[in-house]
Amino acid sequence: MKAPVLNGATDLPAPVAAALTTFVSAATAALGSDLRAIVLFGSGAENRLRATSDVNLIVVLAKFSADPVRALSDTLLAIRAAVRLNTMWLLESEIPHAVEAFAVKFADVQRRRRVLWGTDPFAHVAIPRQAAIARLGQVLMNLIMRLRAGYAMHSHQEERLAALVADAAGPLRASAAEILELEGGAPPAPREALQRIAGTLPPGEWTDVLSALSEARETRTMAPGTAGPQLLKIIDLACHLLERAAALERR
Amino acid sequence: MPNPFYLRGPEFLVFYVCLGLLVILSVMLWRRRPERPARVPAPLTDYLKIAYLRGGADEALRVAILALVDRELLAVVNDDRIQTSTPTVPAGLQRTEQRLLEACRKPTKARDVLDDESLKATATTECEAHLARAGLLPDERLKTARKGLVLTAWLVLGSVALAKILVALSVGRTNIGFLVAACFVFSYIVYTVAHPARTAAGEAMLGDLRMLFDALRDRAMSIRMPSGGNEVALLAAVFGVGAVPAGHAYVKTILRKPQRDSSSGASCGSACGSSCGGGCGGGCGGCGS
Repeated sequence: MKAPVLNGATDLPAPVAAALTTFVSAATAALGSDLRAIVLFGSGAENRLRATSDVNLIVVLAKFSADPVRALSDTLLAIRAAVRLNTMWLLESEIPHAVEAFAVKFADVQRRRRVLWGTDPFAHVAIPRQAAIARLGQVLMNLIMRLRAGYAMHSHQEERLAALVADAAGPLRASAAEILELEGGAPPAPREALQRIAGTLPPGEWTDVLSALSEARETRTMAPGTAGPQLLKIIDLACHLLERAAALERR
Repeated sequence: MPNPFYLRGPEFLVFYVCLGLLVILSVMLWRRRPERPARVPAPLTDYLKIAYLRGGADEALRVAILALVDRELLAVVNDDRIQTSTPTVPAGLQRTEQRLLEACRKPTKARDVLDDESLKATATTECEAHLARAGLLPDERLKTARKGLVLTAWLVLGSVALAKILVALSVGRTNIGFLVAACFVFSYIVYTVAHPARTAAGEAMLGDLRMLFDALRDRAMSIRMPSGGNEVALLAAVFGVGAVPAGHAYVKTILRKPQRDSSSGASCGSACGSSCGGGCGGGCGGCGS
């Protein structure tokens, strides 16, 4: 006896499909007419989830009412434990503000999303170019400073450095895809976007860097003795992306 | 075909063993019949009810202690005792959790808490009716139907044995010991087979939960206490306290299951087997030695 799986999730790994089906079923029951849409985004939407991937959802509401949301707490905790679910709670009226404030994030949502329930709230959303460029600079600068601080703090703790590298993969790839889109091309998937940009950089063993980035993201470990040097190369890579983002303003 | 009641002793015992096996097979086939048609309930998300479904009130209490330690509402003191670490009981707790915290105001041996019948009754009240309504545990109607099935099986086994004993006694034979023993053994097996702890829907639910939380078990080694979520509670609820990483050995030590006899192998087998079903996984670690 198997529970039926949500339409938009049939191709996903069975635990993820079951978790999303459970969440959508509980959310529609608890939130009722407040619920507008449930959107899966990121690697889950592409069905490229790894063992270490989070499952990211946006729940779009007409209004945030305490009681119905509280009724979902047990389900949320359980699904988070099961498949590392992250949920963003967004009001329908807030979408334009959120898109402007977190332009890189929502550009990624626009590229990689599945509507699990309701109508697509991002179908007609346009991200202002200037906001996207400004936010891109913020994201990359923040990443560079965070990685430098992490290297300074944990240069003798390889496992921490590997975790830093793993966590840098998402923002780096999303930024690369955003740069290509703002440059006017049709952006490939984020991982391929970063590869494409790295291929245009001056020689610097970028293939090894990207392999290390993927390995760290998938396993949260790196070969002994490599985490420190690779993290420094990733900071260089982020600096190259920042320069390219800055060039967008002059276009 | 000869009248089986006039078979010689050894031949009749062979006949009786065949009859016993047939009766057991019939009970196995019929025991699920009275269950309601399988529905597809949403997976359980409450750790206490999951633990109860898997292992009854004992297991629910064991996992609840672990969950409250993870939430830092209970503290382990002196290695074998637990004590409530909050002056007031927070709102929103389940009744069993509240009663556990109240019972541990002073340092209390975990073993005593697990043996507390009133706490077990609270867990049963909180969980059993809900699980039975969902069709995951047998309800009163199903229990009655199972009793009827057992009585019918006992009647068949007992009446055949009795008839043969009367025939044997009528011709002056008194070597009926093996037959009486066989009758009791088959009756016991019938009782056990007719009373699975869970319904078919309950078994399916546990299977679904193990699939749903498989990734959680895979990353168990990276979970720290306090986990800041429900990871520890759900890991223990679905897979047993033993599935919680070895780093929390002190918790597993105080929560280990009682040994039924001096043989460690027998103890682990009986204690874990009853509650872990087929999915114990690392769960037997909680048996201790």
